[in-house]
Amino acid sequence: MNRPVLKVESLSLEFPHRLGGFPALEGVNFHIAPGEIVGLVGESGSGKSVTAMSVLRLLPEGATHYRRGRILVLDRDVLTADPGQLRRMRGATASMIFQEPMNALNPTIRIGRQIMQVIRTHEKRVSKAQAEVRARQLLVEMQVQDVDRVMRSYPFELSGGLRQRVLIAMAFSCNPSLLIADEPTTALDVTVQAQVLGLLRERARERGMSVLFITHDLAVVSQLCDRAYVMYAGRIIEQGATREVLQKPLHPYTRALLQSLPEAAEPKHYLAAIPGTAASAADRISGCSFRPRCALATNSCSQLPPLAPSRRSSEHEVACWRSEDTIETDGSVATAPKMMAAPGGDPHAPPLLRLTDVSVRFPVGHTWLGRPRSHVHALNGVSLDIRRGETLGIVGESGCGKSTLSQVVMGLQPVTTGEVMFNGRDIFGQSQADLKKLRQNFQIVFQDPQGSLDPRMSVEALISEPLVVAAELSKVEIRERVLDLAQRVGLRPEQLSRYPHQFSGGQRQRIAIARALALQPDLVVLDENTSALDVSVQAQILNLLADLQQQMNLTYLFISHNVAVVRHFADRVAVMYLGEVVELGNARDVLERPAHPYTRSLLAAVPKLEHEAGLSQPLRNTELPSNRRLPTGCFFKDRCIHADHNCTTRQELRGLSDGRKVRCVQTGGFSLQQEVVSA
Amino acid sequence: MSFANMIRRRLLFLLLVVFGVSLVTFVISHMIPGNPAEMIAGDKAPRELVEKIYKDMGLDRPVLVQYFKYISNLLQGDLGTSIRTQRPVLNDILIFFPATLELAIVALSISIIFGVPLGVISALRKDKVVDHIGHTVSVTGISTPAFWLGLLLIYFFYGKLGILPASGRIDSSIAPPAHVTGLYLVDSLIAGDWPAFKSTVNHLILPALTLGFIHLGVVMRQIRSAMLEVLREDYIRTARASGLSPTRIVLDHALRNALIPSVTIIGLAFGDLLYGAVLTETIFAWPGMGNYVVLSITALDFPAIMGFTIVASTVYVLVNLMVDLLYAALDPQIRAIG
Repeated sequence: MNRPVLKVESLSLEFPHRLGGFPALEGVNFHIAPGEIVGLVGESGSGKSVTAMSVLRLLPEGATHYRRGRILVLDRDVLTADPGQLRRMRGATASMIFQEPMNALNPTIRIGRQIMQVIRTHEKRVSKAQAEVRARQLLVEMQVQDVDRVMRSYPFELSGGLRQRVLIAMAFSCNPSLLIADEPTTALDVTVQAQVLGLLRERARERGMSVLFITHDLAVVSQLCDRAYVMYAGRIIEQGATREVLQKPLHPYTRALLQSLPEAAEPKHYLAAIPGTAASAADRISGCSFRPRCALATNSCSQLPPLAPSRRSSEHEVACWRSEDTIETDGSVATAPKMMAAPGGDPHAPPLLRLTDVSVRFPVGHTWLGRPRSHVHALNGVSLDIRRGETLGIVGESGCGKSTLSQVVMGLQPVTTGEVMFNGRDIFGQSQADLKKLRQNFQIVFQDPQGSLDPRMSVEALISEPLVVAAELSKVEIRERVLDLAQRVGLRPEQLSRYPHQFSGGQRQRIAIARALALQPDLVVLDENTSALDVSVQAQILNLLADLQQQMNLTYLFISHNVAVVRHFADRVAVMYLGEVVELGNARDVLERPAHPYTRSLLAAVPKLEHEAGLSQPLRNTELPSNRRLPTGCFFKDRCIHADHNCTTRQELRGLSDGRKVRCVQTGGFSLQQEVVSA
Repeated sequence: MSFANMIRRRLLFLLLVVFGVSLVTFVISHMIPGNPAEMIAGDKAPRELVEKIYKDMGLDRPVLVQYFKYISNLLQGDLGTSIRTQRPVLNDILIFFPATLELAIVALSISIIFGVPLGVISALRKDKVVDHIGHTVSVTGISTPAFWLGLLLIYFFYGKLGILPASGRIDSSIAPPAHVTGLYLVDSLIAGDWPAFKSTVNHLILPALTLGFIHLGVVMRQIRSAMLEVLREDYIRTARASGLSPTRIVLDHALRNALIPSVTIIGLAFGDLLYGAVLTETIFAWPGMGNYVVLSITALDFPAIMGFTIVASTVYVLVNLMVDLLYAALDPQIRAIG
């Protein structure tokens, strides 16, 4: 075997603290062979990002204590390198790209200069002109269309996808042997993610570059990586070829993680959530750290299991005492999934909420006379019914108007034109006092409960605040209601006196849900409310929401960019693109047999767990058209592979035979039976 | 938006401001009790003389007419005649304002030249000894009254050591340089008058140090906190991961971004230095606007007060324009939105 490009040997690391220090990694061992793409998977707290950062010693020096181990990049130990050696390695021997392309480039320096700076830092003899030629070449390789403009641009002038390409170009600029990619596409839309991942893989393969790919997304690993390491609580618990690990997982955690994915369950069935929250090394669990959450744990698990080759294959290693005993007898750890609830929403009853031809536009800038210079067209003629008792999913990428739609439904964003009727009453035709009263009937849960819960209020105060404001109940009654709500969402009474920061992300989401339900609303808007959660916790929250819907007779407007979650959780779905609904219908029909070309590209871009599925780049043009100057005719035509002369007129939502509506004249020509195309 | 566009819009705005300020000061000056004619004529002047002066000044005519006259004079650059000095207000201002401006510029330069590096070093050595020393210096600067510090400096450098002068802009034995800009530093250089330049520098040191030290603390703390924020940004991590040298990361990548929020503070400090230096000017017998205004107010010298207010607000708008231009120069995003 070739000598590894990266070899990490029993690395233990902690963050020192007055009270004793928080361990983050415990004896991490892994290696990457030349040209290999290796995934490092785990949930929050697993130590995957700490591992990635420590390879180039990027963690804050004063606040990090490398307790034990070695990190060998091309046989040179990073931990004993002096600052000068370290600088020469960074960017030249091994480079790194990060999660947030929006902030990872310096906002005040032109793109061209930022790339050239890296080249000229490591290769002193390269002239400015030569560096510029190389920077341009790199951008061309990254399929940047308009290299001249991009070279001269500042980061804020570029889209997220373009910025990530620039960052990859920068990382490739000195031809390093190793690229460390820390969740590089997590913040991007799926269609952009597909493009960026495809590029990353191709360019790395061409150069024979090794890649360490850090992610929480198992599907991305399956499509990109040759081998995968699974981390939990600062340790590696399973390792092997991607296909082995994902198709025949050995560790109970890996198995449970795969089963908690919405893709793993039938739509509208309970997900096999893992109880509790992901542990970190700082929890100092003795023995196997997954023990407290593991259904298979026995007394032997109080001893730390070593990472050892499995009986099945010496290449597939697992750190578990029990996996060998259970794998033969019982393939699945979880119990058989149950149906969540009968699909809700009677199509013939009057809708709970009806949007008729709703448009919203925002003024941008102003001329010196104070008139707006242009408008952002956030919503362009949206007509939707939300049926009582159903879950209506809204899917779309950034800029599609789904957040504006949630604001409109909540009565927070006045419409420019159109009408929003709640239970037959026009929301925006009410007086302020009546609207306030009406608002009790619809509530919202946001993505980030850390930002949406006041950190200075106790949980009890947070949940009871809507009741206090409504001023209809006595103190005793409020207390009773709060206890009832807490119990429904799975909070213990003694937790009510605590404050938001003392809870994990999943528990904070429970608090936010309890608060939203306090006034017994009819409609709850769930705005990306599981997007920030680990998958095992996401499964818990989705199960909980399903139960609450049934118990409290709720209607959900479920907004998400995550197609798998929507397919699993929603009864009907509306796919949005540039402020329009392009496809609307039964969630299963639409997301399994999409009709609109945009829905098709969107679904094709979603990474899949099947290793064979591969990556696809389904869009013609890479950039989303501006919503300041809307395209004429069909909004999607410039990116659509099927577009022809019929598409130059504005498209209407037309009904298809199976009851769905599609905004595309072409759909008649496609076979609806055709499954999702995966290139 | 382009720079030119921004400047054009601001100058238009400036006209509005000057008009508004002139209106307000005019109304106030006519509402305040006290007869300027009596002030000019003196305590024991006969009734007829007072009335004659009153008429000569046009004070018997309707207020609107008086205001119209004032505005039309203003547009021709005539700010009226000072009651106290009997000279055109504009001439007075042209004499006194450059003195204040020169002092303010030098003082601000001192606080930037020392405050920015100190702030950067404090941020890089957060919670280390250097940071604590820096903190002490900045708190001392912010909390020390200017007059006290001024007196202290005079006591040591003039009284005890006798190496620096304590009053005025230039030695009385040296003739001021020919008036070009009114700034002695510049004028003496233009004239090639080396002794005048040296003397001017000597006279500037103590008052500029006094004012500069006070603002140094503010600048330093602002730079420190902005640097700490910027150093946590993702793009600094990118720069480190790319192997750039620490000097380049700090000076090129971090400081550039940290300066953006600091520009506001520096602009405010400049405004403060221009019109808040009365006590310091008094202590150092600096012939600046501070002294001039105080004397005008005690003499109910309305033309002078109004003239000063208009000039002051004009300069303030111009300083703000400069701040915004600096902003745009530093931050490409602002350049784009305008």
